[in-house]
Amino acid sequence: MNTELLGVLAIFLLTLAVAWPMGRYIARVYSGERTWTDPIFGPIERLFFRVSGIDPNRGMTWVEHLKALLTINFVWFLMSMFVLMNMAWLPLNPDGNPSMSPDLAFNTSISFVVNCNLQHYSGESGLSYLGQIWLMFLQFVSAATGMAAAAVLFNALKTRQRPFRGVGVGTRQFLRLFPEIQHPHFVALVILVTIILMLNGSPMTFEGKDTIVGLQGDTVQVSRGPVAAFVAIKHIGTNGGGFFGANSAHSLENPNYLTALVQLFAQLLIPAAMVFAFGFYLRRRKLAIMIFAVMTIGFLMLVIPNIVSEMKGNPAISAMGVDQSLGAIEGKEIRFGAAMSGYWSILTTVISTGSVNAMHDSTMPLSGMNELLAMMVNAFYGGCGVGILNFFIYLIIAVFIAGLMVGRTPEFLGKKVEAREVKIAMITALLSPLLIMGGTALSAWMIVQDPSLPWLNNPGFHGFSEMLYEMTSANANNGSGFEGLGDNNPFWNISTGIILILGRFIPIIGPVAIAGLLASKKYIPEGAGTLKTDTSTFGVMIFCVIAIITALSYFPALALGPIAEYFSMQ
Amino acid sequence: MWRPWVIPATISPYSSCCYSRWCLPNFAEAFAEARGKAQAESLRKTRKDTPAKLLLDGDSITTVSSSDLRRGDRFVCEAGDIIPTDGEIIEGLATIDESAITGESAPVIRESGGDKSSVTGGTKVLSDRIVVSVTVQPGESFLDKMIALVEGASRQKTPNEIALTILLAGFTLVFVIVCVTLKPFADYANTPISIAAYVSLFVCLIPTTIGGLLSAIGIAGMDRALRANVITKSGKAVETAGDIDVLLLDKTGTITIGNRRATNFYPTAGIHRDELIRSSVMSSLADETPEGKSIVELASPELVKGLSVEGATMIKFTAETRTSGVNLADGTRIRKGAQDTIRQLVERAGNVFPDDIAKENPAYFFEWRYASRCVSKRKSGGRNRIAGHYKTRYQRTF
Repeated sequence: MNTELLGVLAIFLLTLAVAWPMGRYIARVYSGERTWTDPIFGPIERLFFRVSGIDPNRGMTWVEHLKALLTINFVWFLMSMFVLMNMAWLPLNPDGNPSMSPDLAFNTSISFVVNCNLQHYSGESGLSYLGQIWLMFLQFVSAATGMAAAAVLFNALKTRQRPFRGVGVGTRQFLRLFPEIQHPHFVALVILVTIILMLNGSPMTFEGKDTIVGLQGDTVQVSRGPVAAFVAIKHIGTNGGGFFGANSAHSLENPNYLTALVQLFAQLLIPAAMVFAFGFYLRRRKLAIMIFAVMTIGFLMLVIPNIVSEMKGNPAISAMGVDQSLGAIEGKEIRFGAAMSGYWSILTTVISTGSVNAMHDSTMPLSGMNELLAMMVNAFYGGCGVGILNFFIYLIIAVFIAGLMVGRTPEFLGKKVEAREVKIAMITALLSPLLIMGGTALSAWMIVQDPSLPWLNNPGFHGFSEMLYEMTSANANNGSGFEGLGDNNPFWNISTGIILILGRFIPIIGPVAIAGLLASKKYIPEGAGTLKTDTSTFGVMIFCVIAIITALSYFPALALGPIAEYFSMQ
Repeated sequence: MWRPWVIPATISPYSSCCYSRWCLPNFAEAFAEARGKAQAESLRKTRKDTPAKLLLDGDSITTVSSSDLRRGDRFVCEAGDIIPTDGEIIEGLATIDESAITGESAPVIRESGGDKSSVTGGTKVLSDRIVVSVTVQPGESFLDKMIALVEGASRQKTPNEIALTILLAGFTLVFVIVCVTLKPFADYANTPISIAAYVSLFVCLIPTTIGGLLSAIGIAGMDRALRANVITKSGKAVETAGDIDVLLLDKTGTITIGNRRATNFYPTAGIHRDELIRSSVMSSLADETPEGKSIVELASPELVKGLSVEGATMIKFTAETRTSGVNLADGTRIRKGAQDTIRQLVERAGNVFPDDIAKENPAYFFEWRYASRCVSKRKSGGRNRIAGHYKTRYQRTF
């Protein structure tokens, strides 16, 4: 049991240790400094700019930048719809899998464009290899979109001149995020992780199903494909969509304990590094460390109870006389164990990965609540790039409330935070409760109206948790699920699809807009009376803001779902 | 297991917590509001109707209340009068103590014609007599505006308050979402919430944020400011105080009464101090300004007792001559006044102005706190000589 815990602890600390230099590297790339990768990618980049006729040094305002970002996302969405709805006759379909229905294709396209990877299908039967490769492409670019938005935020916050006219946030930077940010650490990392997975038995092939003869002598069809690369990018880009329906619990996606550790490492690396990059880029390392500490404390407060409760086992099963010394192992892979599954379940939900190595539906009620809370907050580390954007919203609200408490007009990084910024921050912060609670209420209402709907396999509180989880996962762009829910039908495909779009782009537009507005304000040098944002006191303040907003918004829903289930089990 | 009783058990702590959040700030706000009203009330009480000497056609004077003055009316002010309302001097010249409005403690000269002809209600005429034409309607004078400012009749929201309102509206919306979604949730859980319970939850939640936090934060801020020895009367003042980076101090009417008072006598060489005091007192008897009065007060009663001004001609202090004095029956003429005026007087008579006085306060016009005034005495037929000078200092209230 101690070995299990040590494994989890070791991989967590290792990730943090690597994230620090990684953050420094990202910051250098963002600020256009020379990096060791320049000789390799510089010529390619220059060639690209010459051919396309784009002036790389022309600045873009944050509005132009957002427009570009949304346009390219829309193009990807249309292309995705085309691919997914015509897979059946397109090449690379050795298993003869069918095309997607329009509503499923809508949901899946959005889901992959927005870095969520909510999967209402199973990869084995629902996608051709072309579809899988297309989704892999989206997994790359959606992660880069998040980081591009974060880059705009960084740039805008660094700007002290006015008016703010695309200082550094140029076409060059935007494009760089694809060829360069991705090349060195995305591509290199993806290749590295792919190789590790392949060495451990993940398939990487374009051949169709394999046939094996099982121990009992019966013939089994085994799906395969370019799994290793898919799994690598799904973690490094915090996407989380599995090649197979069982995601990282599948023995070909995640063959053994080592690959599980590698995947845990891969998904936390960039979100953690982005926080440090924030500090390096703005030359405010102390602020970044404070943010990181708040995130880590929040993460630990969620993950420790999870590991404990998963390792303690299920009292209801204990009462039936079944041994629970390995923990609540129902719904978990025996090769990973309860501790790692508990750690994974929270890591994958605080970061918007959403890959799973165990059935979240089977975790203990309060573990399920922590997974929900992790997604509701969605800012403890958070997804590639967007994590820091979400945290920025809480930061602005905290700065504002703290400013009122000390009786000064709130300032952040030398810029006054005024009505417009607070309005945007509030709208962004309000969006999550609206979408999650509204969506869950709508589905609950429909179940009440028509109890014969084939959605819920579990009635009562757990069924409620399943619906709540699905909506929360969609809003947080997470993509994991309480998979007991029958969700491949028009209602869930369309409702979660809409939630996905709103839950993705408004939290990107909001923080970038705030940063853009702040950038165009006059810089006020820090004085003795300036609120210090890099202190532990302010860290506590942010944490309280996050805790209060989350508790006020979601407590009733949590009380009727996991908490009620917990009391029912006692 | 399906146990619907769990729901009320888990929801009720939430609502009771929210209810207490609603009660406390409301109480605090009522308290703060009552205090604000009391302050406004005391302000109104202190504002008295000043009597005005209205000049009627044919130069007869009737005393009316200042609130009865209309634009175009003419009134008369003499030394010692408070100017009832804003206006323009159309006749005469006077020294006016405007410290209550401008904070400038030295009296200023206002005269008809030119750009120094306007007078402000609430200021005090120190010498001479002026006729003033009213330029504002009742309720629009400078003083009225100041009172309105204090009462906050047309108070504007600070940027912080606007932002806070948005924040609170946001929280209120969260509660709206919570309340609205609770109904389908409860229906799903087979525990329909009764309308009464639903309404009460709604009522408990919604006003919480609107009325509550605003005043609570303001009062917390006022309390903190008080701990730093800053007296703030509103949350807005706390915010303003918080935004202060540089503090510029100027003498103002609020901390200084613009009365110059004598503080000591300094005889020049060869003159006995008692003689200086006697001369000073006698020359000040006709000086109605605070400065003149203060000289009489400063002198010890024993010295003043023996003085007699029987048969003497009193010369009043005027802004033009800048001197006051007395012509005694024996022909002795005593004058006191500003250093340069006395100097002229002395030098015109062919005498030397003592060096020690000239040196004592060379920067008379630039030194506001201490000013040297000279007293000269001239026996009838004899030589005019300087008795010495006294120093003055502005009286301070605290």
